[in-house]
Amino acid sequence: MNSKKVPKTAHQRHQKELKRDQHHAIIHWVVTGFVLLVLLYIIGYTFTAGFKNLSLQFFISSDFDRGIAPQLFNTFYILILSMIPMLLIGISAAVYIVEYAKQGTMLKILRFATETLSSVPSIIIGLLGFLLFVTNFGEGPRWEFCRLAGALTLAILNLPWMMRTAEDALRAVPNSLREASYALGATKLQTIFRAVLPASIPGLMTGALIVSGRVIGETAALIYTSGVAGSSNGWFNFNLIHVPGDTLAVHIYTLFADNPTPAAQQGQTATAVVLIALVLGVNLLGRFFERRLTKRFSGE
Amino acid sequence: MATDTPKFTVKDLDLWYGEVQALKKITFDIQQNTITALIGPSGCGKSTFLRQLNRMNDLIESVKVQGSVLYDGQDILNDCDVIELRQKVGMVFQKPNPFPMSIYDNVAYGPRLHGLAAGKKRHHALDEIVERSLVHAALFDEVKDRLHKSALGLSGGQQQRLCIARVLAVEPDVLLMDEPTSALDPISTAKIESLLDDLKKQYTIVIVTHNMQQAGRVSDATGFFLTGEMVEFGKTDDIFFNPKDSRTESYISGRFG
Repeated sequence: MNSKKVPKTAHQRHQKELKRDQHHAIIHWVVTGFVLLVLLYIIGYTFTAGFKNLSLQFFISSDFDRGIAPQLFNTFYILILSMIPMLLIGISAAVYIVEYAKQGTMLKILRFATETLSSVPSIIIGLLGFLLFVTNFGEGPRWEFCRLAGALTLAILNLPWMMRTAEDALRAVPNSLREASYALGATKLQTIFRAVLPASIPGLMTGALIVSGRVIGETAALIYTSGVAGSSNGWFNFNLIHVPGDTLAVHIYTLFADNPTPAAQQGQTATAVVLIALVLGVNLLGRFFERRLTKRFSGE
Repeated sequence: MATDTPKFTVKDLDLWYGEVQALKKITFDIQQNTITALIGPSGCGKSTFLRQLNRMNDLIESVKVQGSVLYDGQDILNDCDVIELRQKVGMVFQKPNPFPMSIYDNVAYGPRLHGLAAGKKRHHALDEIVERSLVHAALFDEVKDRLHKSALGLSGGQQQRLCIARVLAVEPDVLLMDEPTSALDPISTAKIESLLDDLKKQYTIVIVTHNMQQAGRVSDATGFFLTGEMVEFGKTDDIFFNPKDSRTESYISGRFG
């Protein structure tokens, strides 16, 4: 009964805290390292499996399992088609939230709605797109599986992300710039269009590029909207509402689902390499703009 | 020039942030072509008062105002076009806040808003306004070779003079300055102070400052604010050397604040 606790000195306590600090640092390193490892494994595996299947022929051929020319074209075509409405609506909504909306019920409802929308599974959004754009609910004139339907569906799917990144970009514009503009006799609209939006362009670019990465990689939302077939009548075809077209990501799925021959498997791995390279490139570009944004406001 | 008609006539000005009263019955006149300094400890209401002269306080929702402020005889609290007022009553802020654009575009921002450079030779006219404003703000020589480079590459003192040039470009009549040198080094501060002396020939200047030496150096009249009240207002020399109120005296002599 003699084990009375000796009160620790400040020094001992300090040592203990330091040790705890070290342990935590190690745990964080391990976790970070694990995430990094997973990423490297995916990239490494894909590249070793697929890189040897890449050839010039692969990029320009439109044969189902020998080339991805139509899929490359469709990917960028759908990307551009979906970015246009997404940027317009996303930035407008962000301007409303940041510059106009007052804290209150309306803003809460809006936040709840976008958060819910962003967590709806993409296959569900795909079905919505199918009903809305492809079949028009079975009434009146209808489109077919087409790239515009796919693009609009992707716009709905990614709108919450676009809004959030645009909101971040606008909030990153310091209030002192708005004040400077008002003090020069600018109206609210002038301040938004001439001071706030121009100042937020790097941030908006970053957001748009991150969202682009998501658009490029999406599959489920496209299967029922832009369809799983490569453009049938010539791959370089701009027809919006009558020609279906699969993207790179969808192509990987179709190659496997339709006919898992060895040739299809080779095409699949090669397509995966191109897709990953694209997404990686877009994300790196996004980082680049993010760095420029920070520079811009810290005055290099 | 009728120099004895005041530029601003402030009478019984009260201002509240929500429930907190920040200005209490402020009453005084600001004369044309003078520099008026407003001094006082932090949170005494001097900046709030300054921001009422061009109605920047409108941007804060909870602000309520009572009393009257006349600018050239016109009631600017009730019957006034804020856009027009802010064009006439320009403001320079504590921290230099150039837009992340070129030097040229910064100065041209205001003139473009108000269509000051009009007519066929619009671009030429705009060039002239930009040059004139930069010359006036004693910055032109330092930046003439890089007008189209980013304004954020300038030093703090240069940025602040750019902000002054940006205000001058909209052809104001009054310059409000909210501690314009508190973020600057002594050399940049000296440059801006000597600039002020030049500017008062054309403009009426109201400057809020923390720095009493500065108030003494540059101003013609000084007002001392304390907890939302204007304790004393008068000629700068009188305020500094012959204050009537004991509170002014103890603030000036550095006993608090």
